[in-house]
Amino acid sequence: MDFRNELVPVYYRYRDTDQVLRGNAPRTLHQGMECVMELHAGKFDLRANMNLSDNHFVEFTADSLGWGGFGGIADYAEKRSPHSAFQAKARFSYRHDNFHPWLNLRYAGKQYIDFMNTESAAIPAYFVADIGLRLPFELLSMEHVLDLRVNNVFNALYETFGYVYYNAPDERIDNYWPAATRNFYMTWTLRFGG
Amino acid sequence: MPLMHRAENVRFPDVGDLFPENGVSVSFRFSDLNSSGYRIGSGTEQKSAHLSVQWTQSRHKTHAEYLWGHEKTNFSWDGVSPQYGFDLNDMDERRYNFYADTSYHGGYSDVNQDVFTQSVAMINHTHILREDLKLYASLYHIGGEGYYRQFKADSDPVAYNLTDFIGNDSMEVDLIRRKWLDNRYTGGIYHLNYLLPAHMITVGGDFRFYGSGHFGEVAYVEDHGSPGDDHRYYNNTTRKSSYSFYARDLITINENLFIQAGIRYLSHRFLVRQDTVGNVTMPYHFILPYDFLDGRVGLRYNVSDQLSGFISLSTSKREPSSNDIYDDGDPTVMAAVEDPYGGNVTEPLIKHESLTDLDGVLIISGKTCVWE
Repeated sequence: MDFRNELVPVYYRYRDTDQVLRGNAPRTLHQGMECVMELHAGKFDLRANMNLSDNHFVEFTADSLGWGGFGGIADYAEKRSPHSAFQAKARFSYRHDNFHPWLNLRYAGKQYIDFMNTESAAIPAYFVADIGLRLPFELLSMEHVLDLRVNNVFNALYETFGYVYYNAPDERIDNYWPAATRNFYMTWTLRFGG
Repeated sequence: MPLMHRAENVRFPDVGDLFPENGVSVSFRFSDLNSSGYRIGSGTEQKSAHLSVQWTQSRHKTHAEYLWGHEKTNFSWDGVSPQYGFDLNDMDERRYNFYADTSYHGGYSDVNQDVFTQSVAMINHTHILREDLKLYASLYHIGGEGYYRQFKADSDPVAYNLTDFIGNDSMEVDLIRRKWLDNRYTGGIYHLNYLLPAHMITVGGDFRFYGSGHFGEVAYVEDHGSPGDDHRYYNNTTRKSSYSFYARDLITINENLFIQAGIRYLSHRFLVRQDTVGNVTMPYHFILPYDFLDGRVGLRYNVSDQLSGFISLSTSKREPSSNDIYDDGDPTVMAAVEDPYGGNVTEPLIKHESLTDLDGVLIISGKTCVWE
């Protein structure tokens, strides 16, 4: 995807010496490859996908290194935008008449949180696994489904998003959204009528 | 991905063939969710309901839906910062939420909330007009109203239009504000499919009328009380009218080779009108027009039953949002348009995005495996 004038966040905008408002990245490139696979072997199913992406500025000059505006006007050409360059997911499941266990696996590669691609602030790669069991049954002329689910079964400590701002030119503040640790869900679904 | 389109049978199946249970069906769903959230003090209460009625006959189907939802969420917008002493590897410290920290919010732990109610009503109709002609039409209405509520310490009474209320415009005050949005969205989508021996032609479009009111009110001033339900510190309305037309043709060259080509015209008219309230002394009033023409061309080829692929080249454009153009509650941020006053049609200083997209897909299918 070849973007011209991609809209940039408000806090990166500035007016140049001719008082022209710079609110667009003149050229950015988002390109990648996604691979999707489904495999069915008897009662076992596997669904998996992975993507490799390259999102970078070809031409982009912006005001600051983040909120606060202390970074000054900088040239971000060839810098990556804050997306993970590699992600993969897989879902294994088994279809029995009375129970359906499943396992979800997710992996995301390193993710920068600023346009300067500061290595020390980047979110490291993470791996998360969820497991569950689906129990369909009939009772009192109604269809019931009981779903049991454990998210982040290995209790991984990971972050999904981050951003930076500056309190002073040499005081960068990194911020991260932490993802939930191990958590449990139980869902009971009832279907009335035909 | 349906790559196996065959146009040799130039007729649509009866709707009843697609939906064999002719007659009327009704479904209803209700949910009530209550979560304390992962971040400290970031819980949410959510209720929703969904009613669906469908009437199917051999040559037409009509489907009506109504959805309603309400949420009250204690937000946790800000991230957790190691530079402020929080260890992301500590099971408790990584859950820190600035907006639930009583030391920064006048002793309140649950004052910062997002509250919103939304409903969606729609009716869709599919009609086989002739064996080679099918109509689809849909009408919808979306309405939503709500606010986010926030504690603001050491606030300027002038900026919040409070000088008459507190009688002293030099004293900073702690207050609780609400930023409201009341919006409505009505529109329709339609298309007509026409089958010819080597073509499937589709023409269609949509129209949308969006209207919204945005206003800010102070719900409570510490040591002074409430300035009343009619209090405003900004008030503005926006209107956005949009319509589009498109036409595309799926051309069958032979049973394995297809070409798709299409063109779309999209138009928006965006109006902003602010009221003179509080420190909004020079209200914005302007109209932004956008007219976009885009195209798409694609080629599909079935090498065999196991191997197929397509490649497409398309363009699209996106206009800046209202948040890109101006700030509701901050008149010191100059609207990014050439002429922000006077109600005239003007040009945005933030350009629209343009995208050229090249897509290629290869599908390998086996008895038990699909690679895409």
